[in-house]
Amino acid sequence: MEDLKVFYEKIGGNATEVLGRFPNELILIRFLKKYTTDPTFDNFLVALDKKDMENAFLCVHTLKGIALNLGFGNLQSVASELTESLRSRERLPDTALVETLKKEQSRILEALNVME
Amino acid sequence: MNGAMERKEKILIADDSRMNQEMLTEILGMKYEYLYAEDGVQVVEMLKQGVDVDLILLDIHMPHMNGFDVLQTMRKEHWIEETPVIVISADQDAEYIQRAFDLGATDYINRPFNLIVVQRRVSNTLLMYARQRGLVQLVQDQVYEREKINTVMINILSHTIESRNNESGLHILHMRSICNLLLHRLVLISDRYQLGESEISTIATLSALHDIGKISVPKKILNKPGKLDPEEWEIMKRHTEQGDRLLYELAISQTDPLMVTAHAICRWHHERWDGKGYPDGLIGDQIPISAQVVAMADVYDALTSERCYKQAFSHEKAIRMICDGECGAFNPLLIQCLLDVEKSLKDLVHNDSIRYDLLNEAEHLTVEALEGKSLPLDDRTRRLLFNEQCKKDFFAKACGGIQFEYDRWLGRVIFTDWNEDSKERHKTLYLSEGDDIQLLSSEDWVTLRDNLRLTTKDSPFVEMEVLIPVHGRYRWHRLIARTIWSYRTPEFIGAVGQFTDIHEEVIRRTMKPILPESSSAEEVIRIFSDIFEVVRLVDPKTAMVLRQNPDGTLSETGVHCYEIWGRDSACRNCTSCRALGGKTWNSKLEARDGKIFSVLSGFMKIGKRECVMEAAFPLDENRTPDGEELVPTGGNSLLQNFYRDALTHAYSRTYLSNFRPNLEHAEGVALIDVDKLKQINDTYGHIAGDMALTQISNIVLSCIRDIDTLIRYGGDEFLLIFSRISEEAFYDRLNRIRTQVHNSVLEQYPGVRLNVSVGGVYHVYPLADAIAQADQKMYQEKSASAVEENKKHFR
Repeated sequence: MEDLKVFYEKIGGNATEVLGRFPNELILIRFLKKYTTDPTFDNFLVALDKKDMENAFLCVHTLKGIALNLGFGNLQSVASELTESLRSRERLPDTALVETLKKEQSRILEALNVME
Repeated sequence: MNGAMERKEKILIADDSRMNQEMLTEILGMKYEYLYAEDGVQVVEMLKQGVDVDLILLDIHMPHMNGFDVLQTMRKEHWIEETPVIVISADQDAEYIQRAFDLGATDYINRPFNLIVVQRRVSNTLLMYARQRGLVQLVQDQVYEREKINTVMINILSHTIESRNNESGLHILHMRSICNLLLHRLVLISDRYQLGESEISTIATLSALHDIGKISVPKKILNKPGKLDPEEWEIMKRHTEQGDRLLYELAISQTDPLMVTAHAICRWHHERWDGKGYPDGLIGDQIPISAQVVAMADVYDALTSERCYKQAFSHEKAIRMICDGECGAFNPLLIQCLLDVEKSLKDLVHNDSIRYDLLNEAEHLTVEALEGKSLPLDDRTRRLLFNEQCKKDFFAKACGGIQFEYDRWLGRVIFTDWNEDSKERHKTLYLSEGDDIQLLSSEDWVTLRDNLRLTTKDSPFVEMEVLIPVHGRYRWHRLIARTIWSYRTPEFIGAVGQFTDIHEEVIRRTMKPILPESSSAEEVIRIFSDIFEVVRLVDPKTAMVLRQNPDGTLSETGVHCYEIWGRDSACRNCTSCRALGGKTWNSKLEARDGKIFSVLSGFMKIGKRECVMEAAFPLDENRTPDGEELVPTGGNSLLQNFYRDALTHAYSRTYLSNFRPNLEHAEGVALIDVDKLKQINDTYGHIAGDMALTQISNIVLSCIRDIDTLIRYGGDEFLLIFSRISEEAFYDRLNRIRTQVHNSVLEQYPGVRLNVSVGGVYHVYPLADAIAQADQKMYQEKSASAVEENKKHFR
């Protein structure tokens, strides 16, 4: 539990809130670990690279959903902003915003690493 | 609980993220079985393949086909009625959720997933649908049971017996009602007998058979007014075993639960609870409950009716006699039931109105037959009847075509179609239940009914020429029908009729005045060109239009013959191929520019080349100058009316399905939905609703050109098809329709506000996609206007 508290403080979330939504701690931890191999984030970058707006939108929308479910507060708010800016599928999102997303992603992966 | 509850329910999780799929699975636990889909296409494919799914958790944003599209498809295919959908969304956007609900979603779950919320919503939804499915199953079982019990046969049989017994024709109806009452009460006060609704219905119906064994009892014993002597009594008693034996002779499987019950009722309805009955002296519950209840009903009805050997007793006295054991010995539980339902029993049996409600098929037939004189069913009569039936069958078969018998009392039509093989040959329709007579166009049906009404007992014949489909192709038939009148009263009781194929004759008749016997090909073409709008030569083998060169030879033009009908490929019903093959004349119908064309194909030989001449002409139809009504003119109206909706005069769906390939290249497609038709129907009645539809249809027809096609697509939906139109003009016309409908008033119902939601798409192909997209647009407009309406409401 202590580990989780520390982890969530680092990435802008609340361990108690998240735990309230999961059957138990172990399962939450299992999903957190699973997140390290989840392809959604990478898929998003690839789609952006290809200027594939449709897939970029779908990916970042999914990422937002996962972040919501796992309680990644910071990541979720950036993903949310990106989702809205891509919803019209008309233009590429602000690069600064994408950079922030990358930063939050590596912060999460790093924190998860430490937790092990 | 039943079997359906023991198996694990299957949940299909449709989400493009594996992570989310796993999380939902984890939250919902081992209670369910899971299937997964990554996009909407997979969901639809699974449902199409009939994969058994109890619930779908559906993500909205998915690649290839999103959640809304899935819902839309499920709705169109009617899957949504069987499989509940819970929508998952991270968009707390009210509009999204609203749309999902509009499309038929049962519930929604927001991200982040909350353990308890997800579990509850899923289990509640499953429970709700499980109940619904259980109910559907229940109803199906009962309908099936009832179908199986061939009530008609049973009742005819028992009526025959009653006529011999001189018992009142209502005896078996009483029996049925009394059994029903007693058994329904019985299952309420005791669970000793496992009787479901269908078992009760079976027993009540079969109660009619209890005395069939009396057919073997000589008439003089049956109808003897005084007491029977011991020898006669022995013969009388044998009717129980005789009935039992008779049932073995029926061509019904003896192990069928129905037969088991029938045997029990026939054999044991004179057994007594104390074991002193006959024929087998069974005691207590050795006697099946079916026979017990029939015995009680029989005694009660016998006591309260007048019989050849006794006066009728009052209801109260009859009950007292049964309870006091003066007329047999009964199961105390059944006596309790009898006392409990006493009041309803008295009302039921002594209330005439109920008798007539129950009056059914068998009675109409039997009463008709018996009214003349009693019908002694001795061997000779039976042989004669059998012979008559043989003769009738022979003539029916020899005439061929399609035959029908209409029974006015039952509103029933029995069709015999000799074009079909024996399995499909006989069809029974009940007009009162709104069955569609698809054989005739709605207009023809109305005409036929009107003509039948004009007949009298002295001139009962009707003759018409109609087009009816035979194996999907329309052919001219002559319909000859006659009305049947009651033997004694001047009352119309039904009709019989025969359709005979006269297609070739009609074609020849149409052609004859035009074609002099020995005219040459060139001459024929010249004559035809004067008469028909389109005359051309085609080679059906290459599907090419031919040109006649100045030297008289033929060459191909490079134009395909089917292009004129807006098609991409050869017509499936190519009449020219058949004309060429049979060296003869053939005809068919095609559609173009909102008109239906009659196409004639005739075999020709020009020089050495065999080809086919095609002549086409639009079926004439005129609108009155004010555009109010369509007046069909000339004999061809018959053809055209086939495809017209009788109420709105728009084309019917038959038109769409028959000529669909001709409409595939239409430039503009729109769906028009009448707003709040149901509300109009509910508030002002169906006549107002019909008027609204007619008015709207007329307005639309006045807003479009006569080359455009209006089709009544559903109850309150119209499909509008423009084959050639500019985009601007297309949307312009749709707007005009909206405004004119909005500004119009129903004269008789000034309170009714008419509005339509219109969804139009331009240059979308194929037609199916165009219709689907137009549908979506139309719904968007509808929801938008509903929102507007609400705003107004709250302001």
